[in-house]
Order: sequence, then C-alpha cells, then structure tokens
Amino acid sequence: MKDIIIVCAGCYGMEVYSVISEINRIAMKKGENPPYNILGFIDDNSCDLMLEYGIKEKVIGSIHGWNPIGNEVYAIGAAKPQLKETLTNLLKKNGCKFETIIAPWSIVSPNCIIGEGCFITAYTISSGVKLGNFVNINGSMICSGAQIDDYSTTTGFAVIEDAHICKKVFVGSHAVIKSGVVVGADANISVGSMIISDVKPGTLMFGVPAAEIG
Amino acid sequence: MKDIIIISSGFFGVQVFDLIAEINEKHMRDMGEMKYRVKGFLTDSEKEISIFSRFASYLGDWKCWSPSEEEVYALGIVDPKKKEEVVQYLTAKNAKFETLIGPRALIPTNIVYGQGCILNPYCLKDNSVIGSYVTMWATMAAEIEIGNYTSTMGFANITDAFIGEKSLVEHHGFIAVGNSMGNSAVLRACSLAVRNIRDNSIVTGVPARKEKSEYSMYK
Repeated sequence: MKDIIIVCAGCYGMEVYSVISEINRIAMKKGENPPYNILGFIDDNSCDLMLEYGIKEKVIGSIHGWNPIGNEVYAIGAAKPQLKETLTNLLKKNGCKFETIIAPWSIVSPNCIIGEGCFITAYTISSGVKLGNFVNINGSMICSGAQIDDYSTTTGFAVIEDAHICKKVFVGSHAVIKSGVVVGADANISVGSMIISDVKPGTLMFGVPAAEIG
Repeated sequence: MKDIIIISSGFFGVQVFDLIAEINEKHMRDMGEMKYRVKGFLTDSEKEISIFSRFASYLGDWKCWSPSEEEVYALGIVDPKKKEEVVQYLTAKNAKFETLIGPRALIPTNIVYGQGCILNPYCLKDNSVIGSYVTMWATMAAEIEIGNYTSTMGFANITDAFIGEKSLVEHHGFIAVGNSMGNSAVLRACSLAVRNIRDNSIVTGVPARKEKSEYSMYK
C-alpha cells in the first residue's frame, strides 16, 4: 500500500480524491488490498473539508515549504496548466515524487507512453499516444498519433486527433482538434471550438471554426 | 480464430486495431480463445507506417495487394470516398470485409446492418437501419437510417435522422431531431445542423452554414 498526499484541496483536488477512493474500493471489492492510503491534502489555504465536502481527511500543511515526510507519493489536484507547473516545480525541488493515476474505468491502450504525475479520469486513450509529465485527461478521447506535452489539460468530451499539443495548453470541453494541427505552448482552447489550423503560442481560441479572440 | 487485415488511412487504423484488441479480450473471457489474429495492415500513407508499424506488421500498399480466401478485412478509414475506393478495388479481388461491433457499445440485437461496418457507437436504438461499410464511433443514435460508406465520429448526435450515402459527420456534429442529410455531404466538427443538409454540401458552425471551401479530411 502506498501513502499518498493530494496537492490542492479545491474542487479538482476532490475529483482526484474521489478517483483514488474509487480505485481503493474496486480493489477491495475484488478481494485485494487497497493500493493507496490517503494521508490528506496540502494546500496554502487551510479549509475544513469535513464541513465543505464531508471528507474526513484533513489539510495537513501548506504547499510552500512542504517537505516529504517519508516514502509517500503525491497526486496533483489542480487542472490549470500554469498552476500545475509552479506547484510541481516547487515540490519536486524538495524531493516529492508524483504518481500517475489512471481511473480503472477509462480505456487506456497498453501501447501508449504516459509520463509522471499524469491524471486520467476517462474516456479513451488509443495506441501510439504520447503524454508528457503532469498531463490531465478528464474524459477526453485521444486518438492514435496524438502527442500532448507537459502540464497540458484536456477536459470533458474533447477530441484530439493525431495533433501535437505543446506545453501548458488548456483544452476546454467539447473542443475538437483535427489531424495534423500543432497547438502552441500556453494556448487556451475554449469550449466547443473546432481547431483546423495551427494555433500560435499563448492565444485564446474560440468558435466553429475557431478564431483568435485574445 | 480468423486472420484479419486492417486497411488504414489517417489515425483511424490504430483505433480499429484497439477495437479488435478489445473484442479479443471479451472473447477470451467468454469463450477462452481470441476471435481475431491481426495479420498486419495495408496503407498508402507514409505517416501511417511510422505509427502503426510499432503495433502490427506493414504488409504493403492496398493497391498492390492480392487478397486470399483465408483472411478478412477491416476498414480503418474515416473518409467515405476513400472507403468506397478501397472497397471497390478489393471486393473486385474477392476480399471479404468483416463487421466489427464494439463490446462496450449499447446495441440492441434487432438492428439491421450490412457488411464491412465498424460499429462502436456509444448507443444505438431499435428500428435503426445501417448500410454497408458504415463507420460509427462513439455516436449517439436512435431510429436512424444510414446509407453505405457513411462515417459518424466521436460524440456525434444523430438521433432520429436520415443520412444518405458517402456522408461524413465529424466529432461533436449534431443533427437536430427530424432533419436529414443528403449524399456525399459533410457536417464538420462541433457544428449544429438545424435544417436539412443537401447533397454534396459542406456545412460548418452553430447553426451550420454552407462552406465554400473544398473539404479535406487532413491538413
């Protein structure tokens, strides 16, 4: 059994918490030992999770100045690419190890490469997909040949064909990124947008087909 | 166990490869043996070879291929025109195309479908009639009629629609209830069709309007 600490106790931290709890529950149902022991959360804003979400685990410390307490691993409970980068850099400097968590109900092909600290809740990841470190896939469809670089996040029902998503890109719900497209670093793809041509780094795209709006 | 060969174009060949692995896994659980043995893949695109050859062996270009009696074929192609080209070429040489149905798909037993379909929809309801060589991927559909060679992609919603031959509904395409789509038409990704889509037209946007540009599947 691995000890695990969730970084950030916001809404997204709760999602990570529920996926880890569910992994434990499924293992127990099969008669196996639960793979994780949740020690608690670390967050800079202390809050009472029992009051807010009805969770018995507590916020056990703040992220700034946090040092590993033993052999525990960490799961990142933030979805914003820039925030993920700042927090993971901070914690990795102090020697924290990040765990990749894949929800058991998601369909992940054995023939894909997944980096450290990734979090995959659902839906499908095909053969030949390359995910960097600290990538979040929250219910998206990633088709074969796609490459998603470090710190990027894709959300519900997004479809990524064989495109290249650079670092720190946020892909909103129901967005579709077509074959052969390169989405530049720090770009933000809004909900329901269709991306058919390359996206410049740092831009905000919206519409069908998507245009630059900021 | 059947030998199967995937004809691949674009990213979709590998998706079909994953689907076959899933079908095999279920067959293994239920019957204790695999259903298909992937012999390899055929393609005419260079890019495809570099990705796909990591999982299955490359057998050559489909244009130079002569099928044998022992194997069946799976269509790993989305583009309807390309599908028609491949099917006509290979069926003339007596190739048999296999219908693959995803084990996770919610499909009733009484739907009618032709040969060579790749059916992995999210959900398909009763009274649906599906032609031959149709590809449906993670699509929501009820009481529909789909013509030959048509493809519908991920998260498309085509409830209660009539779709002609050689048409394409891309990811997240939505045809509002009661509307129909003609032959060789394209509903582009993330678009919402509130009127009937005419033959040979390409429509985009919310609500969908006719696009003047020539359609190409790949950049």
